[in-house]
Amino acid sequence: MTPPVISPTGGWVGSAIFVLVFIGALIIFGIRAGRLVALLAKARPEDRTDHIDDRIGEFFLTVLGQQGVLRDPIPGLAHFFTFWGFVIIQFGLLNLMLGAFNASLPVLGGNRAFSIVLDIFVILVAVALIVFAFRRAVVRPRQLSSFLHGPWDGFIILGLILLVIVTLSLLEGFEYAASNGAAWTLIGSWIGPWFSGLGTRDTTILYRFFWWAHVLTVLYFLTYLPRSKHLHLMATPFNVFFRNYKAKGALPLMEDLEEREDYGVAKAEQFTWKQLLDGYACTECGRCNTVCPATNTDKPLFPKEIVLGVKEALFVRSAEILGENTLWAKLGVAGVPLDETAKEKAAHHEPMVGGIISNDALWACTTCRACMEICPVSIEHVPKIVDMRRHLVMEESEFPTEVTPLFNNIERNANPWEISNDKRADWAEGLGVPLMAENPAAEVLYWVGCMGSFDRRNQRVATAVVKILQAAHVNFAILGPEESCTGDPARRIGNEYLWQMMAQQNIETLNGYGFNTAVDSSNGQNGHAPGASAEGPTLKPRTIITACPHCFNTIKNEYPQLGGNYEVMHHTVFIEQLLADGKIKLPEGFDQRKLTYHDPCYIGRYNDIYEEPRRVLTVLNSNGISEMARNRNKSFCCGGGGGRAWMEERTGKRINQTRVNEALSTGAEVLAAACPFCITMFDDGVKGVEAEEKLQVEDISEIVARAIETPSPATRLEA
Amino acid sequence: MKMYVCIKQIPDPNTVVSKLDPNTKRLVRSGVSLVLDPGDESTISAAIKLRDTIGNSELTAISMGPASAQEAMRRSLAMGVDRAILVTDPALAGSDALSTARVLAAVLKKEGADLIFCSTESTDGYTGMVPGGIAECLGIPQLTFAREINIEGQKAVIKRVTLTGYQTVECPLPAVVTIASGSFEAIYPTMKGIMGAKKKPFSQLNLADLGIDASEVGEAGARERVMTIGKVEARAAGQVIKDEGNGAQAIADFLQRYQLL
Amino acid sequence: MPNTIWVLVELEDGKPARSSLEVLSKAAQLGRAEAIVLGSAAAEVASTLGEYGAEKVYAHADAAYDDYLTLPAVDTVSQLLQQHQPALLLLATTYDLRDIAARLDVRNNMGLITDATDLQFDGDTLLVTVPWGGENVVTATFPKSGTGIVLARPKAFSVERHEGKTAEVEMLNIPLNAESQKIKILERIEVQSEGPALEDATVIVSGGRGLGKPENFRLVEELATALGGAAGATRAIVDAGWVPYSYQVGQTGKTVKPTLYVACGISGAIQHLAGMKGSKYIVAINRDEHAPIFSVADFGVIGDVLTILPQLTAEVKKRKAQ
Repeated sequence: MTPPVISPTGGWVGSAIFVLVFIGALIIFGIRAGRLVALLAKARPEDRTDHIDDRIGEFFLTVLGQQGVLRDPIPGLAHFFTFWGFVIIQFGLLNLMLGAFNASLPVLGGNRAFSIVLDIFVILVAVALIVFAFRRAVVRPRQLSSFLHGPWDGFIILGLILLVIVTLSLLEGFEYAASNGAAWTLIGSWIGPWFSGLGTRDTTILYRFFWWAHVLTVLYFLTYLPRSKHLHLMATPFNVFFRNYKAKGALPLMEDLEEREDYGVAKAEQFTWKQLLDGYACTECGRCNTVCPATNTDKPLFPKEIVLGVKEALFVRSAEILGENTLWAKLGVAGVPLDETAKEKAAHHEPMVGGIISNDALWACTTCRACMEICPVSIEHVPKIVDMRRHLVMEESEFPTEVTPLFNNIERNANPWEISNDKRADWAEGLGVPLMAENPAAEVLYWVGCMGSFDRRNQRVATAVVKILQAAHVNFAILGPEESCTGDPARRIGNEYLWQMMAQQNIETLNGYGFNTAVDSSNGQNGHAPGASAEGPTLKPRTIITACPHCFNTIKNEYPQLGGNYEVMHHTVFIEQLLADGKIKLPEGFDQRKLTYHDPCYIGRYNDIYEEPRRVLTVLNSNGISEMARNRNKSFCCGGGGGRAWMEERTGKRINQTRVNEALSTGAEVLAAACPFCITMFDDGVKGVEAEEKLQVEDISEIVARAIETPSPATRLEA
Repeated sequence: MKMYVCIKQIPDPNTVVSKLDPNTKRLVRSGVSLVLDPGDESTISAAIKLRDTIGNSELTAISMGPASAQEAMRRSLAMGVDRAILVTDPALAGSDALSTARVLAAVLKKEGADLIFCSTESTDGYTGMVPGGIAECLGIPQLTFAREINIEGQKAVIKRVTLTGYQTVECPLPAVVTIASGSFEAIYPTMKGIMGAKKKPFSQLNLADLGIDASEVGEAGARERVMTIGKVEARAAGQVIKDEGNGAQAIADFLQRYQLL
Repeated sequence: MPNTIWVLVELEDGKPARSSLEVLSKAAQLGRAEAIVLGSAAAEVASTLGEYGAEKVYAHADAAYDDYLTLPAVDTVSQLLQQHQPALLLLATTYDLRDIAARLDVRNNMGLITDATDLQFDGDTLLVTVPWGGENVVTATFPKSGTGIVLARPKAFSVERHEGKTAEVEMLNIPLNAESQKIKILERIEVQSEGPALEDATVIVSGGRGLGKPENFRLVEELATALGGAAGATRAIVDAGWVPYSYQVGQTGKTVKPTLYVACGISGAIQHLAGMKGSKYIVAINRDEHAPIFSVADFGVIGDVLTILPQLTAEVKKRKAQ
């Protein structure tokens, strides 16, 4: 315990005033922050305590290591230093405040090394501030605009931080001067000598003045925090800690459809506490806007504004949510700015869905997950959007009119079109493809999906997959008319009821053929259908493969919510495995056209399949892949996900054309895809930009099937 | 106001080519998915909209058909209809437009209807003769091919579709109104609607309840009879020819053959 | 003795409707054709109906038929049916006549067959041909005695005119029931447009990428005009900015069910097929013989759409003029 060289308060009166101010600030902060916590307590419950070990580990990486923000290097580094500077300055501050009682922190107090580190960080924070101010004032990236807190919030915060480090530097300087160098600090020793001419009395007064200025600035900051965007300082660590650890591809299950009171979210408090915490944690950095395919093509959707819109809707209704007779209401102080003008009131008290957040914004989302992938603080945009879509669909029957036939067709025909499901296997006629009903012992079920079954273009992909399976002598079958739409588009549009209906139907069918890995094998259901039990049960779980990432994702990640657990593989992964196991041989460098590859959202970002498709393509093409600027987890959606393939794109640029242009700019002749929706969207996109002569869209399986069918010297030798 | 909408369950017109059974000479109804007539969805939506606009009214769906038609009626309840009445009786099988009109009119008479909605025609039979028949049975006027409807005092006023535009037509209530297909966006049921439909009143009537003699309706009462069923000639599944200078002529011949010019 | 066939002739702006004359001509082929004409212009029109095959005309010149729909006509025809028993009442399928037929059927317990494309008498047994569901064609009859009603499909028969032929005209002089003047026409609005709207058109000619360039869409519009229909487009060329969104036929875009759909240079992606496969007749022109559109087409021509379209437009104009 090293007492300060000069008492900052100059006696017990000053110290007593400090104590009162300090306690007052804490109370204000406590009320404001407490109110925010109380709001979360009123929200829907959700368990986020699974994987507790991983949570702790990642917490350290993301919060202390600043892993997330560092992905964007310049503002990332600046943030890194500000964050750590702030942490260290807090310790310095504690030390300074203890000075009011002639005390200091153990170990750190009077420690020269600590004071040097502290001052270095003060300098780094100053540099970071210049970077931030330059970005805000000069670069002004669009994503930084804030409609919730107004344009000045960012500058107020920067100003406060500036005030913190300026007052700290000056108090160190004057302390140095007043103590004749006895109170040594790095910055103090630099600037202290400038003030030596003032005399001890003056420098002591100025030292005390800036001590107070520093302490009061920080305490004001503390009370300002809960109502500013820098709430994220407090909320982010929790938000990261409680992030989703379940499958990324699974939307939350809506339980008890028959008994529920509400379906989806119309009011902020219908969200779960974690969804609301997202709003507190949002730093308003706008990275989500920079990657959103809707935002980038001039649609009315800004993912950041979805998150902040929920936050605003929560705050404007906080009094109603918390109740009139609570402590918060009686104190009349809020963590929320009060509406002052009638105009503000009118603007803020619109309903959340259809008011603060427009329906058009909700319908513009392709659920591509780019926003969630890039968010440094683990905010979950897509589930919020789907929750609000659920309200629109299931409670209001309010959705783009072109979606009505989609719903009716899925319900009546088990596919999105006005086609009888009896015709589901028609494409396979003459290809020698058995139905599961004919070959119940098949080891592999090829889940064709609606696009592969009914869409002419994608029937060619299905045919290619069949040729590959046959070449590899895989014992497989398809379900034919027993297969139904997985319900994926319905679920993502918000029709949870229809999704559950389709999922249950499919689960029943799949379980009937013994595909469920979670079913007890002793009942003979695992491995083989009852009809095939004569061959004896196989314990090896059988595999479902599919060429549709949407089918793949929902069967793999969402069917377990209803008790359907299956071994599902995307066809690109299966093909890669066939190659690796030597079950198929591909003539290396078979197709040397310049090619690029588009990562479909639902195998890429949702299921982390990035390398398998590339490995197959690099075998076929020794020149490798001419990658587009946005690839792998930064891939730019084709525009067809989230049910968007069935909705009209009326505003802005075409998403599919934007992506096709990106592919064209690589100079590629082939755009390799791995998703029927991407193929359809890009085929249209290529026609739309009139580039049919330049660029061909092909599924990876189509190139593989061609390679297998074309006899190469190597395969001929083997024969 | 006591409002009614007459609806029908039909084989899904989008997936199924309606087939006639050569023996019974009736619509084949087994093995195909049965749905609420899409035209009726639009008519029901028009009726619901009007009910909600004028207020203090009840909307009842009425149908005649086999017991399976309950499902189509359930859909109408889910869309927002208040209650449903199904007339079902084995003797009704094979009823023609006149018998259908008489049976539905008997129910409506018992109920004391003020306003009766029908689709202009069903999507499976296309005769369009039932609504006018109901009006005649009840001795009330009918307003047909409406693309818009309003109630003004004791009168119904519609915009009636014509080949070149529309007419504004009015008549006193009670009346039958037929809705032109596609004039009203079909309501997609909400969850509240779907769940609530299970609790809404649903009654079934048979011919005895209506005091109608079985010999007057159904096959026995039909005033038309199918003699033979043949295949349509020459509409061979997609004739495709190569253009050798005669393409345009060939298309024109095709158009002429099917009276499309 | 030949069977007597009654035809109720509809008036349009004081002239007999073409659809009624088609039916009257057919009636004259079947037996003794008698016409009924009601409305303020009934007297003038009655005297001309002989040329279209009527041997007798019942005419009632009263403006009530013009201003009040359905009921006055049903009253008068029912009265006539009490005095005479024709074998058949043959009507064209129009908005007004359908309404009348439905009530006549019930009021007089008649029996009614709709959508007839042909009729013939086998002795005294009437055989009516009715297409059913695209694949079947049914022959139907009235098994019970009394007059039956048949509604004939428009354009099923052609108009035959015998100049100078006259009919016996009986001017009716009966009081109209005021109670039946209930369904009142308040106004008639003609909507001016160059052609029918896509959704309402009975004929649609659509173009796709096979047209090559935006200027060629004109060829599609010209054929549409010649056929009295509307022009449509695929999503691809709407996306490419050739024509506005309002032209788009497809899953996104408009779902159409015209009698005739002519697909020009359209490959037939499922998104397009979803919007038009409910069309009654589909004609396709495409260079690629494997184009999926041919699988739904009733008639297809493999060839260059730019060559065929102008020829077809000229041919349609020629044949329509005949």
